[in-house]
Amino acid sequence: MNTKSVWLKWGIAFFLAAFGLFAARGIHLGEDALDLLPDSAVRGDIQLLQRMGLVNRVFISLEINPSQTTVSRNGIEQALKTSARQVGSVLAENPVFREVLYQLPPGYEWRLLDQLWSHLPALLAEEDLRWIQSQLTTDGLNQALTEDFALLNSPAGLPLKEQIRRDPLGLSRLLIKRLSRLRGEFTGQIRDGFFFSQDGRSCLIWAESALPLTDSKAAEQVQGEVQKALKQGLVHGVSARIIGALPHTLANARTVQKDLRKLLPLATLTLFIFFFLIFRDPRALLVVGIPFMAAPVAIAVLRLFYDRVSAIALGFGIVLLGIAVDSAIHIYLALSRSPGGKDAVLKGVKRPVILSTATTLAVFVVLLFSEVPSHRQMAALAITGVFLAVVLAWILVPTLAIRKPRISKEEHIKPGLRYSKSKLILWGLLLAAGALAWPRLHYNGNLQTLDMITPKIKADEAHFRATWGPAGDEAFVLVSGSTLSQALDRNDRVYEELQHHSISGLRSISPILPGPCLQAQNISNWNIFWEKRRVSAEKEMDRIGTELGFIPGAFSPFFEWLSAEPVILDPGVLISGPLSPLICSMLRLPDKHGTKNQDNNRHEIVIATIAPDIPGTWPVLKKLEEQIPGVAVLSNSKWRSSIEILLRRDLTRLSIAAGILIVCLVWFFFRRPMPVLAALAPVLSALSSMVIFNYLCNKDINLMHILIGIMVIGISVDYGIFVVCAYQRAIFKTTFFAVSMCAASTLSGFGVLTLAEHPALHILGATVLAGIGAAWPTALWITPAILKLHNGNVT
Amino acid sequence: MRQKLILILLSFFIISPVFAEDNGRLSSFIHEVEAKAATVKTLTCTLKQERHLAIFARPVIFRGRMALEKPDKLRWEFTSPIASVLIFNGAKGIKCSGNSEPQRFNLATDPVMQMVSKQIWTWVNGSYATLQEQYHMVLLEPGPCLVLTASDPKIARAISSVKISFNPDSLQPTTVRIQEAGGDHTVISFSDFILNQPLNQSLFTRCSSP
Repeated sequence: MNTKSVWLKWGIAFFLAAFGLFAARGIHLGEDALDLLPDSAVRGDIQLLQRMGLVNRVFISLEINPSQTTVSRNGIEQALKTSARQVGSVLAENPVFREVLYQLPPGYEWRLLDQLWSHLPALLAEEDLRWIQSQLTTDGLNQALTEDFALLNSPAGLPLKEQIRRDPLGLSRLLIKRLSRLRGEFTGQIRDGFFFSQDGRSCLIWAESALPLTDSKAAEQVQGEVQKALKQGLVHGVSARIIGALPHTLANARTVQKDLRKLLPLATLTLFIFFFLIFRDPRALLVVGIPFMAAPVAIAVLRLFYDRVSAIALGFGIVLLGIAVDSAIHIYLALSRSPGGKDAVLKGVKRPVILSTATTLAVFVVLLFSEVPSHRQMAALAITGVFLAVVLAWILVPTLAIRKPRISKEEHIKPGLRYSKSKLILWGLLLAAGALAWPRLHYNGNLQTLDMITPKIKADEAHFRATWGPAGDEAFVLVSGSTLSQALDRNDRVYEELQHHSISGLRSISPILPGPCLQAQNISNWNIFWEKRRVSAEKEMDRIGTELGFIPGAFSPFFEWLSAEPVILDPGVLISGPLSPLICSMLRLPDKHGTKNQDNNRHEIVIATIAPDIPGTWPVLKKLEEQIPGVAVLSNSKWRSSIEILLRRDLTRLSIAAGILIVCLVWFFFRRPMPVLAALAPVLSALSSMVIFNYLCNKDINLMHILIGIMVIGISVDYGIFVVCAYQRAIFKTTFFAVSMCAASTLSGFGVLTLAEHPALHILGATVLAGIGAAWPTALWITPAILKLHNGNVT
Repeated sequence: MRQKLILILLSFFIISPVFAEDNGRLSSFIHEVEAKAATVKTLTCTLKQERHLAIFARPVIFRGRMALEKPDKLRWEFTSPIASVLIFNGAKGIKCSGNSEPQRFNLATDPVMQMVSKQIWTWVNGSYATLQEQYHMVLLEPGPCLVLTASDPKIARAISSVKISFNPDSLQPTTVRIQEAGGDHTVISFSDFILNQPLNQSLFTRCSSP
């Protein structure tokens, strides 16, 4: 090859890479964990939660350090109040946060009761009227008025005098009971408007981030702002625990970064040392690097199809380009070690390179149909990248290879293979074990298996649950409507249905903010109820009251109120009232904050009801989605089951598609069953080995395994193809060596991932290790044995 | 005009020392009351409450007992005409009326009881210095007797004045008269004080008397 042609080839390659870099510049990278979730099952749900502000909520639990044992109870309360006020006000002034709740306004209880009192008839349901009916009997009135008399004469009588005249039957208790529905299973208490734990040693602040907390960059910024506020606001002896999506996103992003910082140099160094020791030629290192020159062009092409590319997909997609390194190694070794002319060697290696590239591309085409967006992006990147990488390897590797055949033609022609029954039996056992283990694997849809939960997060969350409740998982029933009235009416239906099934621990705004339909119904019931009873009740109360020592007409304010026309409660009263932050946390008006939503329903009003996510509630919750329009139920158990269904479907669908495509391609090339089986033997071994490995580890299959499975199929089929082609052309030794080099490099590259702290990376490393670890010896021993068997039969 | 100015200046110089002297006596009296109150760790006494309310046909008189153990235990019990008990024990409390079931409450979450407890503790603890922020105080002698007028308009709308009479020797409050804005008033009289005697703890944990 003349020097000019070599320079030209490298020049074109570098130009392409440079052009790719130029075209890919400014690519919008997203670091959103949502990209790792399937479209249909969870992604939409999480976006709904984001719209409600539930994903972006940061809970800060302030607590007195356990060492502060000498501080008085009052001292603890003051320290926590001061800290909450200071931290809360710093956060509230920060534009990174939109809703910050740390203290309800002073006197909010009285203001609220005053506001709601005139709307009481619109709020009370039939069960409340039944309770009032029980109070209107002679005994009931006697007891109520005696209590009023005693209360007026107790130390509490002074502030309650007007209240008792206005409400002698204690109807405001019904209102307080309804307000308690906003609390659900939250176990705290409100002191001077601050949210205190039952033991009084913790105080709660919550804030809604304006930035998406599933995005690692945004999470870092939010964390910085929270830390700044804590530094400014916490008084001595008070510490804070941060709960919510924020610590999870940070832990995942930081662990992946830490892992990659530690493992990428280790993997690169291992590969370089490995190649250098084997080849003892620095040019061999260039061989490994050539496929990665395709990366910039692949990224530029990816940019044509996607506005925003997941950083995870990008990083992983580039790793997938490493598959093309196998082809480069085969070409290099064939050229530098095989006997014969260069053209003849290239001609010989051309067929397996084309076939292996075709099978690799085929499996990535299948991955394009995955439900997970980042999988599709990885596949798109890998398809362009692998194709280009192989083309570059085909053009550039011959310029690096120095022909010094080390193996004589005779050695190639005498492969030295023996038909080994025992190896075939062992292989059969491996496949049988894999087939037996497969149905015993559990499709695990729990996203937490891929979540990095540090001991601190675990401890903080356990402490938070113990301090604030609820004890278990929660399900969110979100109703949406094009108008506030429609959303409220639907929300009432949800609440009624849940009440009907006696589901306790509900958190809902329906009891204090029913929709117009229910309010009208309540008012109608109220009017009918009092129409028949008002006059007799007034007479009876006067009679009993006089006996107790009240003057006649002592409760005239109550009857004047009863005579007034009941008024419908305008939602605006509550939305702008003293409980506004609590109400707004459960009722989201359309794009109030200009939230960037990826769904199409940004103009809808969304209302949340929170119910315990336990097996008993799930069937009821599931029915709600079918019964009431505009209802979406979001819960861990639903996601788990949805992802399990998706996993089952995706794994089956994608595996069958990949299997059919590969078999067709391999059949197209080899045309006979035994060579096809021989080529596919490493794939079967890899799949069996991965199944057995998972069975022995935790019996689980999760979202990560779809990707790993497809990737391992793509790699291991190449080993079989190269060995079968080599057998057909009697060039065993070089191919065996090349297959071993490829497998060893893949194992060392992915093997280091087993050292990763992040569960997703660890699973990836360990499973690839198991798969390729089985595919490699199969390609070396089983594929030839099948071929030998076939050959013998043919003979 | 000039004469008027001189008169104003004169009145200022003459009257100011009187105010200063009054303030000085008030401060020293409050100091004395607080010092005496600080020596009291436990206290029991009988009480009589007269409620003169417009909605009552006649004044209502309730009798009972009070028990107190500092820093945060108090039992306010009426024995006639209707038995009722109110207990504050730390941040928690119990109230019982007649034969009905005891109702437990938490001061942190019950704004009414929080307000009531604050008021009672202020009177019985003798912490009048803190009240000076909310009330304008005048010391009347002989008696001695403190008259408090709310400086906060919100409080003034409910309570126009509070008059507290003290035993000249023990400086324990003997009568508290609470005058409400509409003319209603309440007089609570304390007598038969027993100071610093050990108290049965069940007084602060259940409604029935030990």
